[in-house]
Parts: sequence; C-alpha cells; structure tokens
Amino acid sequence: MFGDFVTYAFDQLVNNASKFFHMYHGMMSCPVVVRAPMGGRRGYGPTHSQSLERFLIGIDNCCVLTLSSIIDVAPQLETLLHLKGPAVVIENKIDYAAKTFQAPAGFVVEANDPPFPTIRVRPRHARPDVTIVVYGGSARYFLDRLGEIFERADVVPEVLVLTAIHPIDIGAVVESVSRTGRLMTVEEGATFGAVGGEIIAEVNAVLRGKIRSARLGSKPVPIPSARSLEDATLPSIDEICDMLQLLVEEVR
Amino acid sequence: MTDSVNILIDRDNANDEEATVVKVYAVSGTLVHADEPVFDVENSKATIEVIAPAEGVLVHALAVGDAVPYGVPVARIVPPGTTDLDGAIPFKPGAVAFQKPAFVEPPATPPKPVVSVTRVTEPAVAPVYAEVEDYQPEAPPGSLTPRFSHAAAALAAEHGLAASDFRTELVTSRDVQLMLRGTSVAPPGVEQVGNRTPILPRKREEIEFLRGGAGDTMLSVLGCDVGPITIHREPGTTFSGKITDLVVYEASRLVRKYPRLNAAYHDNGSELHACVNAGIAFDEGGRLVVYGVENADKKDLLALRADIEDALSRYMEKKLSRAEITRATFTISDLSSMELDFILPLLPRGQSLIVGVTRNPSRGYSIYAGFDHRVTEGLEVAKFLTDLRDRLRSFSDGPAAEPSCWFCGRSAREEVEIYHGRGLIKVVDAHGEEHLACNACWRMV
Repeated sequence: MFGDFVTYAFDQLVNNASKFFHMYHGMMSCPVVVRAPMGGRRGYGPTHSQSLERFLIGIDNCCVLTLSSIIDVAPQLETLLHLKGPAVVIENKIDYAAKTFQAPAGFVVEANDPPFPTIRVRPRHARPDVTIVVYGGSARYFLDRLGEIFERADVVPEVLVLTAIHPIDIGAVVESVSRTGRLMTVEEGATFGAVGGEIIAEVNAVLRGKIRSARLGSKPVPIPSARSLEDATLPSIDEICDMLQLLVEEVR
Repeated sequence: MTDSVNILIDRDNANDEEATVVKVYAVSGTLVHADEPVFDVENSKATIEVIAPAEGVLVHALAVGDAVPYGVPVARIVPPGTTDLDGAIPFKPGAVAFQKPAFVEPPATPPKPVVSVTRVTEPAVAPVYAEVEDYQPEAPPGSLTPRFSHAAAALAAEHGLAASDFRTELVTSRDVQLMLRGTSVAPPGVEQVGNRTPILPRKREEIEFLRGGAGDTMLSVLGCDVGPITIHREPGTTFSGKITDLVVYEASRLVRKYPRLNAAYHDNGSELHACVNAGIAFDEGGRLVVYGVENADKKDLLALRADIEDALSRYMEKKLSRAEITRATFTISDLSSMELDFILPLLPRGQSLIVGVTRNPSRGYSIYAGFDHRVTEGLEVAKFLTDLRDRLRSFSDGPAAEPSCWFCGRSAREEVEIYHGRGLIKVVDAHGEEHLACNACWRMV
C-alpha cells in the first residue's frame, strides 16, 4: 500500500503503539513495524507521491527509518526485528528495482557502526566544501547525479545519508559540518516543519551558530500528476546546484 | 469489413508497465462479433475485459499467463477470408512469460525470510568511517586523474594548466585560482602545516590593482614636512584634525602644472590623463577603496568637502558605484588621524602619483609622494612637493610659528599685552615632552 495512507494508522501509532510501554509500566510494548512506500517522481499524483515523514518524526518512542539503495539494507531489516517499540519504515518505490549504489569516480562510500548506520559518501582525495544531508528516495536520486552536481555547482560535497530520521544520528552530521562549516539538507517533502529544519537546529545547538546552512525540499503544494509539473515541484538538480553555490559564495 | 483492426490494451493505472492475460475467450482464427469479449487481462489493481472492436476473424498468439504490454497491438481482427492468419498476428509473447503466482506450483521449501537475502553484487563499502586523520585531501601529483568542475575546466584551460598539475581528485575553480596565485610560499624542502587561508575576492582585487601599479612600476618616494596647520575646524566633523580636503584641493590644481604626475605608463610610453580625478583612499576595517573625485581641479573647496563627505557616507553604506572607485587619475592616502612618522604609499594601476599624508606631534603634518620613475623623476616630484607644502601652509589661520600656551591656547602676545605677564614658560611633562604654558596654566598644573 502506498505510504500516503499511513494516516489511517496514525492514531494507533500515536495513542497506542508508542504509549503502551510507558502506560503499562514496561510490562508491555508494541514492537510493530509499519512499512510505508513513499515518494514521487513517477506521476502518481497528489495522494500517491507524498513524503509524509515530517508528520511521523514527532511521535515520541516511535522509530522512523528511511531505507535506501545506497547500501545493502538486509542488516537494517534484521535489526528491525529486535526493536522493542514501534517503527515506521519509509521506503521508496523506485529503490525496489534499483541495484545497490556504486560511488562515482572520486568518491567513496562508507557507513558507520550504529544499528541504523549513517552512510557517508565523501571525496577520496579532495577537501569537501559542504555537507549535504539526505535520506530515503532522495538519497539515490541525488547520489546518482553526484558527479554532475559537482561539475555544475563547482562545489565538492560530502553527502551523509541518514537511515534513521527519528532519532537522528546527529553526531555524524556534527562531525562532518565541523570540518566543512556548511550544511545543506535535502528532502523530498516540503521544508516547513520538516526533517531538514530539525537537523539544522540540532547542529546549530552544538556548533553554536558557526555554520552556514540551507534546506531544500519540494514546493509547498500538493504534488501534481503531470510529470512536467511534478518535476517542477520536487527538488531538482538545478536547485541543489544553485543552493550549493550560494552556500560557498564568500560573504562580502 | 475490408480492413484489419488492431486490439490494444489501454493503460488504466500508473503502477504497471504490462498486464497479464487471465482468460482467453476465443482462440486464434475464431470469427468474433463487435463488442464481444475476447480476453480478460489483469493488472495490479483490477481485471479488465478486452472486447472486440469490430466484427471479423480474431488472430493472436496469447495464452493465459502471458504478459501483454500497454499501448501496442496485441491481437488483430482481420476480414473473413484472410488466408495468412499466422502472418497477421501482431504480437507474440516472450519466451519466458510472466506467471501469476496462482499458476505456480508451491515451492518444495518455503522461501527464506527477507532478512537473510544476500546480494550477489555487494558494493565495496567500508564497514566503518575512515578516521578524519585518515582523510587524504591530497595525493601525490600524477598519481590520480583529477575530475574538473565545468568552471574549473574552463579556468584551467584558459591559463594552460594541465590536469597533472593538481593534487586533489575533484578540482573546483577555487583550486585553480589557488594554483594560479602560487600554491606554496614555503622555502624548498620546508613543509607547510596546511592551514592555508584563501585570499578573499575583495583582497584579490586590491592585489591586482596594486600589482598593475606599484608591483609593475619603478616606484620611488620623496617626502617633506609641512609642519602644523592651524586651521579652524568644528570638533567631531569629517575633517577635524585632518587636511584631506586641502591636499585634494591643492594637489588637484598642482598636477595641472605638473601633468606627468597625472599620467600613466603604458606600452613603453606615458599617457597623460585628460581630466583630473583625485582619488581618496577610504579604509574602514579592511575594506580599502579609492574614491575618485571627478574633475577635482575645477571644484572649489566647499564643493570638494561636500563631495567627499557624501562619498564617505555612501562608502559606509557600501553604495559607491564601480565607476566611482575606478576613475581616479592620482591618489591621496591621508593617515593623519593617527600619529605616524612615515608612509610608503603604493601606486595603484594606471597612475603615476600617490600622495601620502602623516602627522605627529613634534613635526606636524608631513607629505610623501610615491611616483612611477618611468613617467616622471625625482626633481619634478620634489618641486611638486614643495609647491604643495607652501600652498598647504597658506591655509593656517595665523603665523604657525607664533608661540601659544599648550594648555589653553593663549598666545604669547596675549599673555604679555592683555594679561600683563612676562611671557610663556617652557615646562616638561611626565613623558619628557616640552610644552609652553601661560602663567595661569603653569600655576594650575
């Protein structure tokens, strides 16, 4: 079923599954895993193309994962079986048929150790100018075009792909941004009240405002069915290049 | 019916690229009537009846379980009496047709749970991050094939740089610019610590400006003392404690007398500037610009002051135009707001003269002239400087040499004639500085 209709499970997640452990003094929990295929770029229209994770990351005691085809997800699915509380797993329909990502020339793919790793796609022999944080289906969409983004934006990015967007592995993001000084978040949903803003706020709290940041997402409108209009609504390569150039532009 | 009619399956949902045949009502070669069902096909959402669009003989090669694509002819109605029915079949399913799970025999062993699936093409992913210390932002030259951004490729090509010149694998235009400005200032054999800070664009512009001037000229500097200029100024106004306006006013008129000081060296010759635009260096916290007062030699002192004050306020608001900060034909750099003994003014591009102004308590004001020795020479500049000095001195309110009380300003003449004193007393303060004091001030101190 399309993840857009996770709204029907919202009450059970908010008022039941995520609360049982605390309501019943730890004697009971509800380790349910809800799989939600999300995302656009296939012309499915307003109710079958959304990215609703911004409504889910605010549920306390409910893990929100975003799987992608950047690395093998088998270990992450295995870990899911051992979670004590509820989890929503956001997948992307385009990723189902995709082969695992191969880094373009000049970049290497690494993943850190936590059960839901943060994947790092970094330049092999170059200093990164900007940290880009991305997750889910957008990760593959933009990483497949990473070489083009570098060539057009004239910026060397280091890309972090989150596997968990609640809770967020903020340490990995802070480490990277402390080196680059610039942070850009990319998500497929609209940016207001969403994941990117939370990441920027968390990083700012640690690095105390010493960074430049920007967030990219879709236009704040229902996603059109026509492919041309959908492309104009969702974040594009043009937009990411423009935003990267603004981030590295020196302050006069 | 004389023509054959194709049967196409319309796409009715966005999910699927093809549908599956689940029922065949008429075998190939059967006569069918218009609107009679011929197949049932199923997509991921629904089963759909495909009807004959016309009467005729149905030809196809479809069987239950075959996958049929959307939008292409999958069967055809041909006129009765057509002989080559096989040749009229428009679509033959692939050798391996999609099988619905219902038609598949149950597997002997149950499928493995999804978590134990292993990928055949496992990507080369390091299990953990490389430590930051292991980052190798640079590699030995020639050991890698750099990839250039479009901007970097254009810039490198413009300056004839080769890919092998670079030590990073991903080259941006900033890397090329660093390369063009020389990557290392360390002596041979001495390693750099790697904390290189790139020059900001504003500073680069300044460097280019001076490189075309002082860096490329035969710079020489002469100087002379002017002494104190006792001109009345309201305290706290733009020109209090300074003589910028006077220097601009007099120097602009003087360069008409010495035209080679309002000129530039160019292509083995000197070219005289057609107008006199006096440049004034503004520098408020690392933002040096030279504002050009247009036709400064034709403006009176009041107009000059108004012009400079207006430019200064627009400089603070960063509103000076490009033309205003590039049109100067000679420059004045007034550092008299601080106590200095010497200035070596650097000549900007396209000019042959820069006048520096300093002030210190014992000598008063001093003026220095930096000039391009290819355009003019020391004797001419010395004459210009002494002329300028004399004209500046003429602005003093009274004889600059008249002694007065350092504390209250009372002149020796007033002390004797009005206050009936004997004259001024020379006193030495705690710093060893000598001052003149009137009788009243000496008693107080």
